[in-house]
Amino acid sequence: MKLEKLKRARRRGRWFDGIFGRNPVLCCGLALPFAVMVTTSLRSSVSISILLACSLIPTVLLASLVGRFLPRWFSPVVYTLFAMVVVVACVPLILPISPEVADSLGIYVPILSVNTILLTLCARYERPADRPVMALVDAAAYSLGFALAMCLIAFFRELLGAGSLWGVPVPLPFKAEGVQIAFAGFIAVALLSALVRFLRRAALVFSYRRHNPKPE
Amino acid sequence: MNVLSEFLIIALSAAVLQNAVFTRGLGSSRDTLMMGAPRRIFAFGAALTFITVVSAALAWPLNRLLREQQLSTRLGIRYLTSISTLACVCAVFTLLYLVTRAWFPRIHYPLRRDAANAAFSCAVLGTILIAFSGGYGFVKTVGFAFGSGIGYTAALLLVREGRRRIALSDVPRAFRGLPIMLLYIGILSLAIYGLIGHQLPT
Amino acid sequence: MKLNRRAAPHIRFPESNRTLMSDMIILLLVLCVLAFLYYGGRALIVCAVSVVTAVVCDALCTLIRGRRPNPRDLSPVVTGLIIALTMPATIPYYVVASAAVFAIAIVKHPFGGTGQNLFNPGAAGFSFAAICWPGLVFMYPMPFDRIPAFGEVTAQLYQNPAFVLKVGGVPTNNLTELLFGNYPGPMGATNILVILACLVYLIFRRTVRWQLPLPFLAACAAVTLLFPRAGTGLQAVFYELMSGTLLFGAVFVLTDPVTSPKRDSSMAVYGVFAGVVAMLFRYFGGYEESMPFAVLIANAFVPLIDRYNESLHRAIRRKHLEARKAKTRPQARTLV
Repeated sequence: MKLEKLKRARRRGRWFDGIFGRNPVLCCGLALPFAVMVTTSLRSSVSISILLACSLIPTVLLASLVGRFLPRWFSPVVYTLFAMVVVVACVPLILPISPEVADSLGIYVPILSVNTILLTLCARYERPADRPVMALVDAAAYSLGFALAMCLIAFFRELLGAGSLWGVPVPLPFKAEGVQIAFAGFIAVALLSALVRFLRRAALVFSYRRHNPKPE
Repeated sequence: MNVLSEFLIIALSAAVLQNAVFTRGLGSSRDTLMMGAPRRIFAFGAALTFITVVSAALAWPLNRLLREQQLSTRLGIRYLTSISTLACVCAVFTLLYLVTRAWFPRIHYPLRRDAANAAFSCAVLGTILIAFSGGYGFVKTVGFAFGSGIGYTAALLLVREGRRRIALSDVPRAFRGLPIMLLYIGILSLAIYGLIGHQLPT
Repeated sequence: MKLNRRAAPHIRFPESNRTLMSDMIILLLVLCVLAFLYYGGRALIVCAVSVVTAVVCDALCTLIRGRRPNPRDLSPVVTGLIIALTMPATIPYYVVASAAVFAIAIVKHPFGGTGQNLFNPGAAGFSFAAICWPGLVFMYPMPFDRIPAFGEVTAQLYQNPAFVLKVGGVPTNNLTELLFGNYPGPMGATNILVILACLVYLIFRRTVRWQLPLPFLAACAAVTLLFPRAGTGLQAVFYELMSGTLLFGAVFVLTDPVTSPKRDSSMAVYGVFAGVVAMLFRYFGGYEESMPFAVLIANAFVPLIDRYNESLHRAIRRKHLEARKAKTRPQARTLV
């Protein structure tokens, strides 16, 4: 075993934790309501990802700076209220994507302020041991990972369910409108997350075999 | 009598037809879906139901006031209702925490671990906002909140039952844990959508 | 001694999984032949597409999981036939194929494959098709219409009597028509007499315990008697039980040995529960067809039913044992 190598790879990969290795939706099972309900079209999932990034990064930064001065049980109150204000302030950012996207997202915009990614990350970074830089990096990586997962799911669901991509019709032999319903969201998240796990394990096994060749 | 039947019908509809977990995925994350002991699920569900009902009862008059004064358009803020609702939820959570800590330590002890998770779960805020967007009256809003909390608890119990059964079978390695539970929820959601039809009632 | 842990179905008779499934297949093939007589060659092609997709998909999934496919395992054939026979004969082939793929690749194999699936694959496949393409699945051709096997289907399509019940009317079909399946409906589920004969055959072959389908039908009938939708009394019961796929589901879908409970008494509880849920779905649901959805919901409750039934039985046994001990103890004393 070459632990030195593994340690180095871990240290290097730490920056991208949220994107691949610990993808918030596909690996950690956070923020599932968005992954299930919002991913019916690419447009709405991109706009919700933008809103999440805009609210997650400032809130986690706030948590890492102020969190240690708040009592533990009270801190979520501060974070969620702050995140709600940020989300509401950022809504004009997504309006250029499409004017009615905010209406079609409905309750899922305000719910962003209580999503589990935010609460988990804030709880992780409110201890004084962690530096704010790492908090920023993690917040950005988790937002990116969330956006990636959402776009991946939305790609399949919009293509199969509505027969279009980003609102542009794609000629397909058939379309299954049921794929736009919530149950297909659950199934899509489950299948993709199983795929990600399979790939992760395959990569692990591959690298292990490469560094530890079988004795003849 | 009329009020009671209205309350019960909307509660039943919220618990089954618009089940928070199975039809909207609200409040489902790894921590809640993988919750182990039924006692803990009951405690979590009770806290969640209580917070939802009380904050719905608090937020409804506030929402009414905002709408009558048309503050949202006057101030140019779009999601004023959501902000006030979240403030209500926060206030209820704070009060619950402080009151139980001061006077009911026996309730406070099991609550301490889960109260924050329950209060800031999507199910609480989402349920109240759905009720508001439906334009329900006071009784209907509170009934919807109550039924949704009950339905959420029942859904978590059912998911736990499914997990116990799935633990006995030979699930492929990639699917073990969260993915198979999501598939389970997805198939149950498929069955419930057979009851609803094609569209969620709004 | 080496003990092997095997997954359900557990059988204490010379029959095996293979004989159980082949019994089912023989009867489903009879229904296929009837569908061929009623709707022509397209019915057979629909069945073939469904079965071939299910079998191929099952083999592929088994290979992906790193096992060797078992050619003696006939359960995908049953799944495919159930999906095909609950569809109208005019269904496009891609609908049947995707329903079969959904049933095998998403409902069966992730949960552990044959003998371990929590939900009935056939019911799930049909539900998926019904939700995705309700306009295609719930419109049926008239029997003895000429339906081309390929290309555009031009035959006139009608609603099932279940839809008439759903919108609050009374079906105009008379009893003999309903019994012989001479009305628009799913390919295999309209021949009420034949399906009843199948039920009797399965019960006498002991492939199916009577404790499961009969309580299901009884519960449906009781709900209909108490709250009739069309007509009064027995007439309403006849129409409810004979429309849609209720009877077909009771005989072929509900009785799946893997997803049903293990004890006879829990089977009865399961049947009654599924029946009540099915009728509730019919009365308040969005679609006129309710059986597959009700079966899925009931399947989720099977572990619960099994567990509480087992503890009930244990309590009863303990009571009996105590009673017997209490009876024998005084005798022992007198002997001494």
